[in-house]
Amino acid sequence: MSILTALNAYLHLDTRQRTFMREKEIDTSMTLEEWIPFLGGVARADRASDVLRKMLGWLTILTIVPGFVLAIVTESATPLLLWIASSVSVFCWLRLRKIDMPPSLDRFLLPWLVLLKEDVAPKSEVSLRLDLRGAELTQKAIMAADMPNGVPRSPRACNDNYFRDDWASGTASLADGAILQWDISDFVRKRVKTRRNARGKTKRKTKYKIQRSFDVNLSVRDRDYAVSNIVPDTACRASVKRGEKRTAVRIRTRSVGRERFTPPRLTDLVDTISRAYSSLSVAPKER
Amino acid sequence: MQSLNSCTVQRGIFSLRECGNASTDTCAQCMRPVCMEHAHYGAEQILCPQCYAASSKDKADEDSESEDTSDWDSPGWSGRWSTEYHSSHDYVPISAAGAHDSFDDVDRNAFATRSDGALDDEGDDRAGSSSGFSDS
Repeated sequence: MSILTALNAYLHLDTRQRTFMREKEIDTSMTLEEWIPFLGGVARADRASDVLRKMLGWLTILTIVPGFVLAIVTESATPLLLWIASSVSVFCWLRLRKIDMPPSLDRFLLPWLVLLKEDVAPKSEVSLRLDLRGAELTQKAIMAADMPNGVPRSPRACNDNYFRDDWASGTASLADGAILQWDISDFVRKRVKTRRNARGKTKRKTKYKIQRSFDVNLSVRDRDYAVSNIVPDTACRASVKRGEKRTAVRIRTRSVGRERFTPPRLTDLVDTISRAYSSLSVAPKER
Repeated sequence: MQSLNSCTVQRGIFSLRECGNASTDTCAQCMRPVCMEHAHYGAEQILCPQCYAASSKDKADEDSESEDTSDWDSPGWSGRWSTEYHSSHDYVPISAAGAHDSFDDVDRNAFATRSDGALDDEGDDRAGSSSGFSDS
């Protein structure tokens, strides 16, 4: 049943959606009426493939172990069949893992776009740049350091790798005439500690620290809104840049986490934009 | 200008404006007209997002509700989420900047000034006028 569901969900995707699932990158402009079905179809196919992948994992375990035991005990063709089944399931599992999307798509990006629909100007295009390949890529590495603690106090090697992952950004024209730009980036520290125990066994421990920053730039028309200076806050950095016709409010907030695949909280981004809006008041109408 | 049959639900998370879609139903509690997008079809009655959020407030913890993003594709989720967000956070959404534009010339003429700079209804206070006002 779940094989059919997954296959059906995947077959319903168009070429662009399949390319996005494979490459996990996109940088284009569309209306939200196009973005939501586009990403929604990918998320549905991903959900179905997750269920299928879990089933294939169990199938591999259930076929490979009896296949091994039966190969020792009997001389029939059953172990061979079980090994073929397990090989096929491992192959399918690996193929599905290649097109697996991070939970941020289903639990953060899509809800965010659905919410944004409430504020975005009708029929206006929203520009999105998504890179869901993950942070641990060579081109995203910014720094590496051995022995960050200075002198090794124990027979322990410590290696730090730093990555910067600008994985989601976008621009939208809102119904009130404002232009909203947002940028979400992760600064990831991967710390690998290696130590040898008394019996000579090498143990390795990997820990992550992720600092996630939300950068919001809200540009409003001076004839629509009056912008007051933002009160400095420890939780965020803010600045106001006044132009001839528009004023831009920039806000940056940060959150720290330890889990690699935890999607951001939607309220964190909404709170950041709300802070920018809190500095606005409706400008008196000129007659 | 909004017609009488348009949805009067305030939409928006950051700045509020009237929905303006054609209404299809009426909220059973506040009797305001609501469109298909903003109507919440419960077991017994149809509610607007505000009344729906108020009625479901007691059922679940506010924070856990507002952070629940798993049912984003269910109808009316964004309206529910934003209503819960506004009720559980300090942020009060700003009224949309173009809100004054919904006043038409009839509304503006009511406050129009005469050539001598006085408001048109100033004559109401003149003694002996037949404006219908009298001292109590």
